[in-house]
Amino acid sequence: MAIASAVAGSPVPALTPPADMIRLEGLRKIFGAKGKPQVTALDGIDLAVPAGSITAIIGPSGAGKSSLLRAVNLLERPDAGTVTVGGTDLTALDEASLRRARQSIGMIFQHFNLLANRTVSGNVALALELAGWQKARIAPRVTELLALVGLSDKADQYPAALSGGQKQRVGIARALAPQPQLLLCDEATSALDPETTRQILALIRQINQQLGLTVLLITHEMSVVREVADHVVVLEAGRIVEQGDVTRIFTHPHHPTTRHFLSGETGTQLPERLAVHVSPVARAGDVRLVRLHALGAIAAGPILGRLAEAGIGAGLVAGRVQPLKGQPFTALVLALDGSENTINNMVTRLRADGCDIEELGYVAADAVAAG
Amino acid sequence: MSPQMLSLLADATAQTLTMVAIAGTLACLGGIPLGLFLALCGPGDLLPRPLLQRSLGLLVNATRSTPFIILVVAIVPLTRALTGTSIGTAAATVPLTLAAIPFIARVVETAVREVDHGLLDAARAMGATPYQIVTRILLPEARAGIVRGLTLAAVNLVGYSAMVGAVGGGGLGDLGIRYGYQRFMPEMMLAVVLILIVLVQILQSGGEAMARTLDKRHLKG
Repeated sequence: MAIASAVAGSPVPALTPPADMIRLEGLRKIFGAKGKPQVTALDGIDLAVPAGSITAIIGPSGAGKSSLLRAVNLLERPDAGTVTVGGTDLTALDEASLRRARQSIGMIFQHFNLLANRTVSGNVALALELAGWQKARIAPRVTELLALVGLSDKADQYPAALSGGQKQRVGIARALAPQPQLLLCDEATSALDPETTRQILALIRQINQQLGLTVLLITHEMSVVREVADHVVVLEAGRIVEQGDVTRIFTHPHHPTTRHFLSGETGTQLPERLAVHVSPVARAGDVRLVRLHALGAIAAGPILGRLAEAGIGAGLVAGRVQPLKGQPFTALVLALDGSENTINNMVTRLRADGCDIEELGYVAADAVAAG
Repeated sequence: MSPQMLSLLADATAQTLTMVAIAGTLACLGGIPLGLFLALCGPGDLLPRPLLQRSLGLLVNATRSTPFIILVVAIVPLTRALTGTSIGTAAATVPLTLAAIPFIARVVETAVREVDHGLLDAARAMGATPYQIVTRILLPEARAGIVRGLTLAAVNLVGYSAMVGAVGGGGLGDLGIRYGYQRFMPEMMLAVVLILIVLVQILQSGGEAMARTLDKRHLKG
């Protein structure tokens, strides 16, 4: 149909699935003053963030996550490439138009960046003052937002009197005040303890669903991705090495960096004492190490029972069962003991059922037992 | 202490306060904007004007490194042009003001530069104009630091004002030198020193109290 219209010379009808809130094309950013070694922070980034989604960018430190996020509202202007938010090419705007455009992009920060000398409500009101709201409309909007983030009783406190989680709630209220379409989260939970992190992520999730707000966040913690994201982008050395739906990334990770991040989160890193003995080929008396990812019914099903029925001994080396998008997600490192053929058949069957199985190599059975 | 002496002390105190107040006010009018310019217009700052910023910075350093007593003598022509005379309390406010401007500029610059850089990110992300960043974020966040710096400047002015006795500026320092030292009246010297101590104490505590009220960065128990 699209082809037919193109042939007829008429504009292609909007058949595309939900429009992209953010489109980044060919972003490049190089840091480094004259005469000093240069660092390529962004090395040709193309990314589309669908409207209404929560997209998480994860990567090791120095991967360019922060530069990427800060390029979206042009806090850091890329050296090349275009940034389109809500259909507007921000890179083409003059300063005044860019400032107006930024008012529809909320942002929260790792260290909250609240004004110490304004009260909680003053901090939220600031965003509206800067956006030129009339005084009479500001107070009711601030009250509404503080209720949304659960801080109505703290309106007249100064930030110094708040906990980290409460400060981030103020940050969220401030970011949401001018009714943005997009929320950027710059390591927003990295300074918080695990329980507070969970609460803030739940709040972000709630806002995303209630307000239909698109969220783009950067994090170095896979747990944040697991708890909140719909879509994952893995960044390394300024390039996107893998991206996809969060369940796909968790169950079938492709790139080594993704696998590395994931094994940390799922507790399936091979213990050091075993890793040193792993061989890529089987020797006599070896067991086969595999990492298994399974989501949903299969994850909750009797995987170990099936192995046992097939006559395969399955030693548990490492692993965890965690919720992922409301479903059980199982990640295990197993030491499989049995004939090569039987194991191969079982691996094929489990893969057909939707399990992701990664071969890790072979290790002596007594090395596993020695742990 | 004789009534004459008391009257001398009262006059001298009034002269010192007048000099400090006038020079302080004028120096704030010059020094605060200059300090803001130094803080905002350096390379990589909010409103970069690196060349002018650097030149003004050099001028500030030059003025600050000139010993005050030499400044007093060196600018006599300027003083005469501005006040019509080179002696007396009015004339003394000219070098006092000139010495205080760069001092105030530097303390204001420091206070503004100490504002957390993350706040600038937040402000820019909210679409703030440079003017809004200065008036809504930098100045309110730096106000306690600025007040502390101005307190320091006021205390320094009290000290400098004692030196302008050299050009007949009057004031407590002058009284202390002429009566306490040259006429050897230790009770006069003691009285002058005590008044100066009390004066500095009042300035320092007042400034600190004001800064504490303005400063919401820490919980107060």
